[in-house]
Amino acid sequence: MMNIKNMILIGSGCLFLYSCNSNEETAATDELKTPKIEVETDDVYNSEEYEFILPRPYTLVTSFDKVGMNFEASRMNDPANVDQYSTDGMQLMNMGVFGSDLVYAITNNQPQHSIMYFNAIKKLGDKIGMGRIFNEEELATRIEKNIADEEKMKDLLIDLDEKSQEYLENNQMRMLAAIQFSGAWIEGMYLATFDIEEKDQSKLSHHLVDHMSLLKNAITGIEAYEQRSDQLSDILADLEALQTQFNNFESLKNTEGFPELTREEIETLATDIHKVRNKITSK
Amino acid sequence: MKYLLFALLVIISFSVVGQDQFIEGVKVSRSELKKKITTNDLSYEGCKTTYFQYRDQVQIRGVEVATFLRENYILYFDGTYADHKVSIAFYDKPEDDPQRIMLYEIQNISGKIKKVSMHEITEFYEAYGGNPEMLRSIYIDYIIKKGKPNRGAVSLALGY
Repeated sequence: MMNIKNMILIGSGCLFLYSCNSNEETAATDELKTPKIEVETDDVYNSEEYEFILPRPYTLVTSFDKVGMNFEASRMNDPANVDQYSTDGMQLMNMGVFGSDLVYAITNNQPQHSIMYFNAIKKLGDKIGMGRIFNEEELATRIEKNIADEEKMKDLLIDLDEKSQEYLENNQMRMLAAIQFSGAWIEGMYLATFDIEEKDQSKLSHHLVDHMSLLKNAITGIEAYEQRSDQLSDILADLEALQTQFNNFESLKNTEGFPELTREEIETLATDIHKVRNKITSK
Repeated sequence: MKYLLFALLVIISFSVVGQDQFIEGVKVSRSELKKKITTNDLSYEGCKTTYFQYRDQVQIRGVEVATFLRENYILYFDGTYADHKVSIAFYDKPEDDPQRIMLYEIQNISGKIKKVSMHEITEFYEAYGGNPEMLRSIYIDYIIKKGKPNRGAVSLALGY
């Protein structure tokens, strides 16, 4: 009888020991376990049947390097706007927008602006509930210290992006990473479509056509977020209209090789992109 | 009955701890892949882990990678945490396109790490008469063979 009691005690002990170990983690990741955004999804560690590797803001913005993007501070979303985004979807989307603005400032050697945009991202991160990622491995301190060093920032932004995606995955919000990506994507396209007349039309066309292939992923990501606000639904409709408009361009319909957009088509596309982007960043 | 209760407790304890070790192991393998890329003088772009549960039937999981953003991506796959056979097939178009062409194949990634360059993939595409300029994304299918109902994972890291 004693033996059986002992065995039950040992068995319970195994569970207790595991739960103690697990509790340490739970305490440390308390904030991670209580995300402010609530979304119903499947098992975190069981991937969807189809997934997409989301390009980072750094990759999206710097891939336009060959086209040229003159720095103009007023083109970026004003960091003061950070307080006006009240819904989860719009906060995440503008986190993506600020992410691309931060890259735009860093790659144009604008440390003052870079720190402002980093602070805007941090503030939105706090609002969303992922504030603690900035404290992990002193990430925020390292970013602030190296904000003027593009090479170091390239790696630190990857760390920041991985931690933010990991946060969303760990909290069953994987699909929301696509909303953040959508914001970064539209801001990259927005910044690249200024001064059209000064740019090499052929190169610009090539990059725009390439980047437009990512729009379907942005649309899919927003569509998957069922609790989207009316504002986000409105933006989704605009993005769908943008896709339709693009698919109907004569240059796309009448080519067998790589399509080259006409100046008029580039301008139409730019106007539509600017319209959607301004809707995203406005209140 | 009491022995059964004890056995159950022990099984539950070990399976929970084992699951935790699985996730931690995958995290370690992801950082190892990152290290592999940076020590090979490449820039690290990111990593995606596809998680699955082996079943008594073949299943497919897909990952799309936009390839136009960098000159020449290098893809690293890690199948250390895939106990049973997983094949990897690369295509030029998504699953629902009947005209898609298979560009490359890894017969079995289970227990292995493999490196594939975009150059190898586009070479094949050109041989089929495709224009690599038009290949903006590649579509990767993980063909997960039948196996004991354990968890599995394959990680894909991108470098350039």
